[in-house]
Amino acid sequence: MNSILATAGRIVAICIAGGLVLALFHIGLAPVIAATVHAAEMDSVSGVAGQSAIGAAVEVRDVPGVVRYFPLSGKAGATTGYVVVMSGEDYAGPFAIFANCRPSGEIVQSRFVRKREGPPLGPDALPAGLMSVFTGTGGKVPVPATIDGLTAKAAQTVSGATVTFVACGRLLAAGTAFVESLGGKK
Amino acid sequence: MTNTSTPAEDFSKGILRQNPIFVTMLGLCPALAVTNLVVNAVAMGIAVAVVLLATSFTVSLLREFVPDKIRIPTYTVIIAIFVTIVDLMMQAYLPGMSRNLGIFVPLIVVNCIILSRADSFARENTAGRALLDALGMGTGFTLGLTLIAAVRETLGSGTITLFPIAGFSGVITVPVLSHFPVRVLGLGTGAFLVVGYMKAFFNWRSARLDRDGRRGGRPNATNQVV
Repeated sequence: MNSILATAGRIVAICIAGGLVLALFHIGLAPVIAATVHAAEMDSVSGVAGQSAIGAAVEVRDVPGVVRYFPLSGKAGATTGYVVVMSGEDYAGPFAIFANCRPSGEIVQSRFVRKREGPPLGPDALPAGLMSVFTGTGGKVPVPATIDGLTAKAAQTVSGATVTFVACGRLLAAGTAFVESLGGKK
Repeated sequence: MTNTSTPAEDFSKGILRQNPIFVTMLGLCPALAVTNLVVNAVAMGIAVAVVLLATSFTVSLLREFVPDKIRIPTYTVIIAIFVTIVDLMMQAYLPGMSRNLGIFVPLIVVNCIILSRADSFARENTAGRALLDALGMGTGFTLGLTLIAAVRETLGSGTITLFPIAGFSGVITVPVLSHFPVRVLGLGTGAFLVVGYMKAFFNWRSARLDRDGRRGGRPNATNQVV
């Protein structure tokens, strides 16, 4: 009995020591990781925003897939569009989409960012023109979410990444509908 | 069991004689998965080496404290702690590399080299020797991964991807091969082929050393894991 208690005590001691070490590292590194993630997100937002001024982020909680948006404004200060940040998942894990949309919901430019890559797949595994298939859709033109609605050239572009294409299409459809619902307000 | 080898042997055996990938065939999951780019292989090798060093050192220090019958779960907890630290550090300071290596960083927890060195060497030797052994094994593992990646990327893509520094993009394009790459080597199948041929080379080399050793009256202990 004493031997079992002694063994249990040693296990508890090791686990407590390990937990404390991890807690210390987490306290030290969590702000750095948060800053790194924020910088990467702002880099992606700037990448699709073009010349427009980027406003403060507005968090979105009640629309599935839509995480937040950044209002864009032109030189006169009027809202010219939004960068919508969306979060989804496909067979390779979670990903984010940054889409620059006009107030009508039309997609001007979008960027796909994998949150965590598997080396055998990697960013190069995604067809180069995948996101360009969605440019100009949204608003009056429905966002394609199946291969059937695509032109032959666009279908060729997304070939080999159909699952990702469908996941992106559904997410962008939700994002553009959300932008339309904003009605041009900041 | 007391180790009778010299410190130099503790270090050097992991590089060639007991190379984790080509001789003892341990840690093959990352050897196959992350060796599509040289830069990925180097980063994974360093990450494993750091965890191996920290784990071996800690296990050696705690060898009198950890009861024998719970040593494996205890080592697993210790390995998991160091892998989590390395993962957090990579997310904080090397986010691009952390994203590229993906799930294979957390998977270092189940890398057989680390548990095997902790259980077969570190728990029976002093901290200094455990560190030398881990350093040798980590170096051998990193060199092994880098060699596989160099062959796969050069022949499979016609490029060699290193770390970008200042004006250097980090990508070296190999003339001719970049226009006529052997694509299969970039895929999982190619990884098996390259590892297989390299293992065959190491076996041939071991057999030759063994034969020469017998002729000279000194047997070679190539596949003996200590």
